[in-house]
Amino acid sequence: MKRLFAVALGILTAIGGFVDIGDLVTNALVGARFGMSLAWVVLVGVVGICVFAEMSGRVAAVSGRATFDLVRERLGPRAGLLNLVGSMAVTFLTLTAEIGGVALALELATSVSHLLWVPVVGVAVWLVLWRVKFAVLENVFGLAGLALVVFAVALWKLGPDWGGLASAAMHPSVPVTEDWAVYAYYAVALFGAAMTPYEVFFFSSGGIEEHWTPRELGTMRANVFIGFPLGGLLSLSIAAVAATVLLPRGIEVETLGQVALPVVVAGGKLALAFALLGFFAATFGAACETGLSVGYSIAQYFGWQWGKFVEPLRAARFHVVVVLSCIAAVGILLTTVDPVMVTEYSVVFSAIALPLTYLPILVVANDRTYMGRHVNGWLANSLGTVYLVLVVVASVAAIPLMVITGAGQ
Amino acid sequence: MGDVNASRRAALGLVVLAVASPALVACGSPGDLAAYREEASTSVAGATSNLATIQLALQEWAGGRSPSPATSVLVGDADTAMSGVVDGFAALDPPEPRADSVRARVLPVLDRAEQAAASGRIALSRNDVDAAKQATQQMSSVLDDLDATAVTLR
Repeated sequence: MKRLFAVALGILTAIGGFVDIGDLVTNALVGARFGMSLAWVVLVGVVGICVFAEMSGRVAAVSGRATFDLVRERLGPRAGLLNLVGSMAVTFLTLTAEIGGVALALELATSVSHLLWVPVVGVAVWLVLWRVKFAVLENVFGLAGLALVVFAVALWKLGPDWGGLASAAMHPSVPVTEDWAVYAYYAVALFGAAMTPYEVFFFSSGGIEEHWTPRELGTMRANVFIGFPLGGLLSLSIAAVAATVLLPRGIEVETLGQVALPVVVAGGKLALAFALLGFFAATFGAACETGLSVGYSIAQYFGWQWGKFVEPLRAARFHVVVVLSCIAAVGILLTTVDPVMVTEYSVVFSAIALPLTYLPILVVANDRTYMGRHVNGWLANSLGTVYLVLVVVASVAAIPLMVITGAGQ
Repeated sequence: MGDVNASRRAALGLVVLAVASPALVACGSPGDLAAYREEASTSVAGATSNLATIQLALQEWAGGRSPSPATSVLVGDADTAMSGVVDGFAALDPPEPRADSVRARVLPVLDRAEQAAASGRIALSRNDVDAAKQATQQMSSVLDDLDATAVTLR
């Protein structure tokens, strides 16, 4: 019974924790502009994140060591450093976007400028990362993030043309008003949002924090293969409500308020309250995850003591990295840069950095020295190889598409 | 969002300079009639998006379905963006005499959209539901004009 509860809790938190500011903004933006014609990218991205999250979780459970720890050892310090710089830069940009997202959610709830909320959120994120236990952090924000189910309820209440939505999703094509390059640019952005690198760092390091062993592989796989796809459905419902309410009116998503507008139309104040709670939980939870991931990656690369499973004093350098990341992210946001714009760039740069994250995981998961009998099988290797090709294509295409389309203008 | 668009362009400019400066040379400078029409078309689409946002937010607020704080943030953001769109297009000089007719067609509609957005914002700040309903009706006619203008620019 206890095990069943742990599996259910894990799945629920995986669903609630799947969506972050990148998913919120990108799915709404794409839904309002392209309808459901890019839904296939979410599907491809969800399968990809499942493949690599399972791999990194298995590596953590079997070897008892997290990703960067093994990457440096297996690939050497130079390749490890390249991996560290690329992945950490994107994770830091994502942290900045998430803190900005929390501030925007609070602005919507209170009408107090998000710039006044940014330092408060930065301090709150740091305090949570310093004081709150890992399991509490993961479960509370993951469960509260389930409030975003309101988008699926809103879609049902809006009573859309289900056949039209399904047809657009199953027969993807470039809308007549859009250019193919812009379509491809947003496909890459959506792919980057679904496969954000920090998710695997956090997942594998979280496995160490929670002392996973090979006995937990079943629970871990349930979280990944049930929780993540259901989280992907949440992403699709965000796109679908935007396609139903915003697209016909010519509304392009440029603010977090516009993401919530279809929910207001469907369910009024109560629905908006759920959406704002979901925004807050999803972005605050992701801010904590990205803040920890920056600390994890640096500490693991340099071989420092890391994690929340030891007292802060014993992992002082790890906590210093975390607090400096929070300060730097707040500093960037206080320059008055638009958090939604930071989000849009963060998902595209995520796509650029994807090979740096996923190639080493595939290499380590194939190494019998670490994995023993839990080394990748043919299915994991086939999917991993196919996705490696996809992430390389997305990575190479991202910057040219950004330049050609003026960042999707 | 005018500020947002300016920030977007600045950020994109940095990315472009850093990684793809040769591509800039290849793209050339958009100073001709086609580029001006493209700018006009983008401005009309931006104005439509912002005015439709304000209209929808005000309709929900006037119907008691959206709280004031969230509505004022939505309307405030869209109104600021609207001003950016209008000012941005007004600041562009038509590159040749043939572009004058594009400017003469687009600018008055954008001005009306800005006025309609301001009416909605003022009604919301005064907590005046009737004025908000009136403003949303006015917005419907301006949105029709924006649609018609967009068609002529295609």
